[in-house]
Amino acid sequence: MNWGVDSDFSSAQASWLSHWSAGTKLLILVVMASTFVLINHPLWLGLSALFMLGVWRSVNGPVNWQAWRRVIWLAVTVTVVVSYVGFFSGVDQALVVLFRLLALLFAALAVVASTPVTDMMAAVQAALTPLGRWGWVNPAKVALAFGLTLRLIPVMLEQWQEIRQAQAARGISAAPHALLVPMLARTIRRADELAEAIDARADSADFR
Amino acid sequence: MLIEFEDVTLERSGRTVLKDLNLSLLEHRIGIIGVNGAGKSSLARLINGLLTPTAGQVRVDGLDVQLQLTAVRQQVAFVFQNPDNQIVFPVVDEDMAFGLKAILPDKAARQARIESVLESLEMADLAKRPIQQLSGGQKQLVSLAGALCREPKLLVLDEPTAQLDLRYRNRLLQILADLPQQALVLTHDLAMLSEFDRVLVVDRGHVVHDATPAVAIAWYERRCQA
Repeated sequence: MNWGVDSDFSSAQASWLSHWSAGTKLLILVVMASTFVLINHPLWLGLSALFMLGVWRSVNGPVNWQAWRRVIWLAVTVTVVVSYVGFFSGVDQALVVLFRLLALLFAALAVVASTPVTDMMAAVQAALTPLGRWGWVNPAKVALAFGLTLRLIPVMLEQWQEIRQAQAARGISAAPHALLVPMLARTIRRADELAEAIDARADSADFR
Repeated sequence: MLIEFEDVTLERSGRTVLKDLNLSLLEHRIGIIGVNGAGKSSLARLINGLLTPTAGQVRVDGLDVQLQLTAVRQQVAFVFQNPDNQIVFPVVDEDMAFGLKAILPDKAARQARIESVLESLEMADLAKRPIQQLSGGQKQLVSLAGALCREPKLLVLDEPTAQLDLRYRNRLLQILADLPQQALVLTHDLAMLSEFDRVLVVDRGHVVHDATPAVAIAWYERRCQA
């Protein structure tokens, strides 16, 4: 996943984890996420977060602080959530939430840093095939939506920054509604154009 | 490849965008110019069925676009103005593979095609690059490479130089000049049409002038000054 500039959120890199199949890694990620939700002790979750940090660093290149600065909103969100829990439920519970989120984040980053998006899409498609046979979902379309999500996160971030800068240049302060309305309008227009491009580039065989 | 418009009318949101259009396009390089909102993009989108005419018929190489859409789209590739809205996947070669499955079911053959197209455009070093690390010019070339992967007979390019600096504009023009495919280009960049075979001027849903580049561009410039 590339949320911004460079390697920390970018595409798959060669590492010991890149030799594992995408399906295996996604399955382990799901199992680990479930386990982290079930654990309620800050010490164990803290150790899990540390372990996952180690795994992620072992499969990724040097830390790119410039890329991290562009996703500062993630740190803000985590801080708000943890503060809220700390205020209402105490420090122990706040630490549980913080370490759980960090463990999940590092685990997800490790998978993303070691797996090409097309491989993840193929794994998602294979996992959904039984549901596809029953006619509940179209696995290829769900996999495409999964891939598109990864592709569009940085595009949406850039769009958000463009709108913010355009408004700042006109002296408009950063009010949520002033950002959300143009963001929504541009996102809908972009979705239309993207759908048109997919229509032009692929045919039905790509969705079977 | 012959592109034919027969009595084509297109209405969108109650507005007539194209009216009674009759055209036969066979030339190797065709340019379409006109002011914003004249109907250029709509005309181009009829060629590969992104829009459906309200009346009339569009044929590409004898194929009815409405009735034989899949066959038409295998022959016609579209390059959009904004590459960020055309590129679907986060890495160059992954994006180029999109849409190839139907044409090349074998994964190794798909990869070979991708490598061959990237090499032909002197972009082999970009194969594993994340899209977000590319400049606007590189993204536009990746869009073009994705289109060429399908080995279309006709390329439709919607304002391909609109977001390019001079260096990438010149590079794109050189690539276009060397391509064996027929190309139909919608543009405001009049200079890029100088070596084309035919230029159409579209205005308010009609082709109001149809001539060689020098004649059509001079006519269009006079009209814009009037």
